[in-house]
Amino acid sequence: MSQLKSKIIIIYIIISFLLTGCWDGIDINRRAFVVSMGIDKFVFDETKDDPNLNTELSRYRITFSIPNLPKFVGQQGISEEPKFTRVSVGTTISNTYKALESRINKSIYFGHTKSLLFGQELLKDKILLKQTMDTLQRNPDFGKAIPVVAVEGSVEEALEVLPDTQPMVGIYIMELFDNNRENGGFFDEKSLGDLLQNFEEDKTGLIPRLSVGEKDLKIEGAAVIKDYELQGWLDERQLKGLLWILKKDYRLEISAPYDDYYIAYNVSESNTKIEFLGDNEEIICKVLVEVEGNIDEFILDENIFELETIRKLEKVIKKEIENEINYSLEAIQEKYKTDVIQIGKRLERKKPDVWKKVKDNWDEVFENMQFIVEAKVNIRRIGQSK
Amino acid sequence: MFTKNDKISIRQVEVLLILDLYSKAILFLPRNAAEIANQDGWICLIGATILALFYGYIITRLVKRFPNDTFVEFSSKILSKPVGIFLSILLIIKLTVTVSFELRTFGEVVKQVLLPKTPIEIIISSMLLMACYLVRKGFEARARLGEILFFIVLIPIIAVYILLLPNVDFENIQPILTTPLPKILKGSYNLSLDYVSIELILLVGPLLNNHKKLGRASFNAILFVGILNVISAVIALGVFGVIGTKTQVWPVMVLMGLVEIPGAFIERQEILIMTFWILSVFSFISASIYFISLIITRITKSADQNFLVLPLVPFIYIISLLPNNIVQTSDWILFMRDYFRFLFLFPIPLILLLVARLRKLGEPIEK
Repeated sequence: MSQLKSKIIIIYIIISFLLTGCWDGIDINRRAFVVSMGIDKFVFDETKDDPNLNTELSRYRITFSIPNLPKFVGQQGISEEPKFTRVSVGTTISNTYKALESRINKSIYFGHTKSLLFGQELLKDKILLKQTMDTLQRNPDFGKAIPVVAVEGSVEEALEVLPDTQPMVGIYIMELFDNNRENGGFFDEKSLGDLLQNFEEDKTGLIPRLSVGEKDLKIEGAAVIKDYELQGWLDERQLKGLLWILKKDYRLEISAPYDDYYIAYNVSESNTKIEFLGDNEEIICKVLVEVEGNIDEFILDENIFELETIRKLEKVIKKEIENEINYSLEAIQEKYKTDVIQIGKRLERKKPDVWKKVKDNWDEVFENMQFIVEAKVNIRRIGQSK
Repeated sequence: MFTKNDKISIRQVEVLLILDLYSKAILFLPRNAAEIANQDGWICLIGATILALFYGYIITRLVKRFPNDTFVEFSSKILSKPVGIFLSILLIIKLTVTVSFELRTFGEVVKQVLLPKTPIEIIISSMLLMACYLVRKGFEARARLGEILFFIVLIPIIAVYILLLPNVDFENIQPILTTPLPKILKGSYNLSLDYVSIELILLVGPLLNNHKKLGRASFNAILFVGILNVISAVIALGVFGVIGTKTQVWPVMVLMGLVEIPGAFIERQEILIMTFWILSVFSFISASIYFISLIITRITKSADQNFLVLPLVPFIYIISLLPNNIVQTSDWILFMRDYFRFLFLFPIPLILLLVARLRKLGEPIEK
């Protein structure tokens, strides 16, 4: 009996040593949740940087934005700052954040990263951008739904902005993306997964551009990337026409000139079809946009409740949409010479045999391709006055 | 009391077969399919399912002829004893190696995604010991566990597929059928080898309480898993596109990360699919260990099976740690697939069935 008891006691002692926890356990207050990460190329700046850093081993300058968690959940924290921004320089991305771990008393964790910011210099460097994308794909901590933006200017500055409505820039960007998705857009939301897919399949991609303001941030326009290199920036107007082709469910205000006034048309549903006419030698691409929506602003004292007027308005709006699209297509065909709207992929799917003939010199073919843009506008509702 | 109860119902066979078939392929199959036939990969999977149904048909016909024998006995009866025992030993080796590599893959996935700092030896050995515990409780316990796991594993997965539907871009699988036919046929054959768990039916004979419906059960199970696999390939291709599916090591797991559960506070839900997958891998590993020990029992004609289970552990453990890395593991798995996997799926059962017919052995099938 006593032998059995001592056996049980020994087992208990062994178990208490074996089951004390796992290798991977980290206390939550020991983790530094990187809410946003700004990746940029290291460019030596004599006025700010430590001269020791000026070697070829300094390749990345990465900015980490970490929330002050106690402050964030409304408790009294040690410091008053809502967030900490840390900049680290290193040879590779892992090297950079490991280096940060020797300066910060917590362990870096990317599982809750809400946005990624790419700096201008990074986008210009083919080698660094390729490596960055690989790291982001290989490391399972980065979810594929993280929003990605490009910053024209300093990434560090962008992450140090304190927007009044939400101090964490990472969350702010994510919420701008949500807004854009729900309320119709000014840009094409791009997640990490989308961007990887764009790069892998088409070798081109658009990344939404982040502009830094005093107390807020704005996303408008886009960076045009071709072969992992920045080609240039599309401004808001240049991008707007492309959105008709890029976004499936596109809702936006259209302001069209009408007599001396501008009328406002709110798109509630749109559908874009792309067809290819003509055969081998000359491909003609037909873009057909079908739009439904309502008139939001018209002119006081004038009667809209007539079929004649409605038709006139539809014509005006149709012209405005066609102009928008043509303007944007011109920009990407002539200025950037880059097929960022996946016309090539669509051609491959619709006419695989034609694609085979043109795919080797696709850039040239795309540059000289003729587009026929046609919009079909329907005004469904006019508001509550005649 | 229950531990000696080794008879299971036809429904339980069906459930176990579904779990074993599903765990083998689920995480990788869309990638394999896309590698073979790009956007037509899912068509290969349909072909693979049809081939698998054919394998299932031959094997169940054979098992029905000898309702009270396992592979060990009926192969000895049909092709003389030495040949039978040789084939059985070959089957033991094949099962051992397969289960070892499956275990290694499991360990690699878990270490990569869930437990980066835990030594892989601990992950593997805890899984192995857990499976042994279940095996020692007899086949009936496995069957009952299977019935529980079936719902825990499959309902969330089907729910996830439904939630993913809005993300699927069907343009990604166009153009349809541009892959040359020989390539599709060869791809179908290669993918059909991932339904390797069908061969476990060869051993299940004496454990059944009703043989009449065995054919029906295996047909249902294979068809069900086949449809699930085709759906997951279509979804993976539709969401990631061809190249995206090819570059993901575990496309189905990444898919889960994309699901937005409405109003949920949960993040990183791809970990959930890991949980379901771990459960089904557990089912597969315990099945293999059970059948290895069963074959040894039958060869040695020993009365008790349990004492054979633990001695198997070191073998499986060591083989699973032989490959240097995930790439080598996958290389060896491919080697196994090309040279061994098909043996017990198709040629050996067919030869046995034909010879049994010629020699008029076993119970002829009525009706």
